[in-house]
Amino acid sequence: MKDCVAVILAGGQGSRLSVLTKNLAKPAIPFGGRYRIIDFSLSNCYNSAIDTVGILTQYQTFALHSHVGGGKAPELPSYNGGVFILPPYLKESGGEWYKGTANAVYQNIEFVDRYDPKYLLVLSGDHVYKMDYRPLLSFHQEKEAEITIAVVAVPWEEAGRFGIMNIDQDFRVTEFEEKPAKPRSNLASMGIYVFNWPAVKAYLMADEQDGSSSHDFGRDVIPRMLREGRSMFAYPFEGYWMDVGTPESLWKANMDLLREDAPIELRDQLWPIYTVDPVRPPHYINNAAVTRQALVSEGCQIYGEVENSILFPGVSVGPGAVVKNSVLMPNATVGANTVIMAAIIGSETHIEENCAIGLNDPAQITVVGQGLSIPGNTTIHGAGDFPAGRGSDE
Amino acid sequence: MNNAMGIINLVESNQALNEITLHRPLATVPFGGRYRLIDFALSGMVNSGITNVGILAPFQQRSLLDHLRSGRDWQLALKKDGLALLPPSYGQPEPLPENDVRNFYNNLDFLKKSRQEYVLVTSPNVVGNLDFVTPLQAHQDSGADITFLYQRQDSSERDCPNCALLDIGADSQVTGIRFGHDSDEGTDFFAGTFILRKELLVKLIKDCYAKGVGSLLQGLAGQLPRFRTSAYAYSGYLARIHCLRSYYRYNMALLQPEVWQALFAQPRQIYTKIRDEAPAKYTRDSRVTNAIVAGSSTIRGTVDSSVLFRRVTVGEGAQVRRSVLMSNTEVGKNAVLEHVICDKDVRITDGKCLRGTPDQPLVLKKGTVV
Repeated sequence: MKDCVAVILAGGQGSRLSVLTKNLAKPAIPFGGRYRIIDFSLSNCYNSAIDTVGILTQYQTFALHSHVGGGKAPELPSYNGGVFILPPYLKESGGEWYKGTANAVYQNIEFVDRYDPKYLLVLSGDHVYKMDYRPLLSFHQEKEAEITIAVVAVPWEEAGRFGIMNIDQDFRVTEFEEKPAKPRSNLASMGIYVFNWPAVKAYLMADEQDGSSSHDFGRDVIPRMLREGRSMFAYPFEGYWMDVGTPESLWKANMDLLREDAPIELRDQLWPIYTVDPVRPPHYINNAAVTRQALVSEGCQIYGEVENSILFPGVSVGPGAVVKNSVLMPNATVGANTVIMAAIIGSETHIEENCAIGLNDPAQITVVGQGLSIPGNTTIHGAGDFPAGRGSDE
Repeated sequence: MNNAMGIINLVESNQALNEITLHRPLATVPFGGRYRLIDFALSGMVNSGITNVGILAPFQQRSLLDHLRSGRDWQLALKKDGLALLPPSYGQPEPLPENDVRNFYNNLDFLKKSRQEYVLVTSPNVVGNLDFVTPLQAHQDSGADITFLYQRQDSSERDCPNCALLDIGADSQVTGIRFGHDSDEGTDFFAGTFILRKELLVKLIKDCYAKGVGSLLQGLAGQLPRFRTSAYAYSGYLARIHCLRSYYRYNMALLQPEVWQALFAQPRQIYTKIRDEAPAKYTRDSRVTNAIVAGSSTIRGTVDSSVLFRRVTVGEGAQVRRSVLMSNTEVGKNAVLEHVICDKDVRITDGKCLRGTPDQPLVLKKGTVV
């Protein structure tokens, strides 16, 4: 018997990220010069001493599975715990894809039952944040809740984009509104739930029988638990939390790391962000290079100018090239005299000489997909994606 | 699969780098921003398909054990073969002087139970993206008893007391091995590596042990005419770290893009102990030229022609030139460093000015606060 088992919902396609998620699940998107997005929730588990974690995957799983490493997580026990990758699988009665977040957990009831936990912690693999889940669990116990939802205060003008919790003075949830037109609270659900496992298991089984359900925690299971008067509390989280759902928010969350007062300290030795080492040498900066306000990873080679940008492992920037306000994902190469402004360049994309990419407008980020070869003298101006996804003006 | 096992001999050539090898064997001396010297020999073996590797360990082992752990980071945490630590015998009741022959002798069981037919013995002081496949093939093709790897280089390092030179006769026969100061001429530097059959190695070890010879290589040098030897000219990039000067010089050599390429070009990678570091951070006022920088470093000042290891911080207005700063070095505001080697955990307080010379870099011991 364990106190708590965590499951990370990592099956999302993240279709608003367009070309970036063409071959990649959203939790596997590179972030912050060295990481993939799922590293943050997974590291939160390790750092919160949660030693049994299931990762529910189904969309473009290869990069995600190889990143998580088939369950070999050095920080977790190899006996009675660990990290488990849980894609949909065939059962005696047949098999099906995960139909929704609740159905994904329903299909893995056996996995959770194997550890017979008191609590199930449901997390999303799409969010960038640092959070100790232990105070959340204590809060859940103190309130004698059956379900606790972590919430974060968002700007009032943006509250309409979130699932909003209305609470009483004791943090008891009185009402849950999905994307309300006139929000009465600015406490947004972070998609982080603590359930009493026996209670939610019954609801998951009931939900499965409900033909009208979309089998989603936020849309179906939680409203039903609230309707039926289950004891539901909101746990207020204070700190940086970012759902990098669009190219603009992905770009901005990366740019936030470059500020002197970066909202997430990646160097914190007490709360390390674990990831996969790229096994590359230290980076090299040439005599003629300029590197200012930048995060630069292993294996990069800089001969040109890099400013206010993030370079993932193995990126090279050729002589005379200029990279500003941009994010260059692993092994992207920039040819001589190419200029890149306010853009996201996908992994393994090679841009040859004398190209001009991006408008340098934070409201109009240019996204170049992964694994492309952009010939010399190409101009990709205009917001949107290349190759066209969101309506590039190419 | 090349039917060879490897041994990295750490017992020879300690204390070569003065302050830097005071508390660690040469094998775990930090090099090139994120590596320890032994990483190059280990990676070379793994990249050459050698997966049974013995580490002939010296007395000082803490940093070695800390670095190698299970061998996982070199893919050597295997169920069959893998990494084997061959500890020295300390001697009772009197401690024994360090001596690689006795260490080999005490670990003969490891050699005997290994399945491979050939043994490649190397030193931890060779830096390169090492290819052992071709030399092993050449050894098997030549029919020689022992093949010595060497490289012809300019003679400027001959004054290093820890280097060895080969005398090569007709038919690539090795006619002599000369050590350190005795080697007043010649440019064929021994590359620290030799290949032979396992049975011959076992025989040599027993023979040297019986005669009371302390160094296997010295023992070999004394009876070369008994064997068919062959000198193999290693053609790839090779740096040999014998002394402080060569250590400094070869760190600086990494700043030449062609050397960086020769060492680190894919697909043969140099493996090392993995730590999940953040990317290096450059602030708005940093000015960095001609530098090698490792993860989690933060640079606010000026850095030129230097090698920075992991978690180094360079403060505002500080100037670092032609220096090697190992992990956790902290350079305070407006401090100036030129031709300085900072060992790990060194702290230079604000405004200090420290200078060495190109021939005699200033070395600051681990943990020094200036």
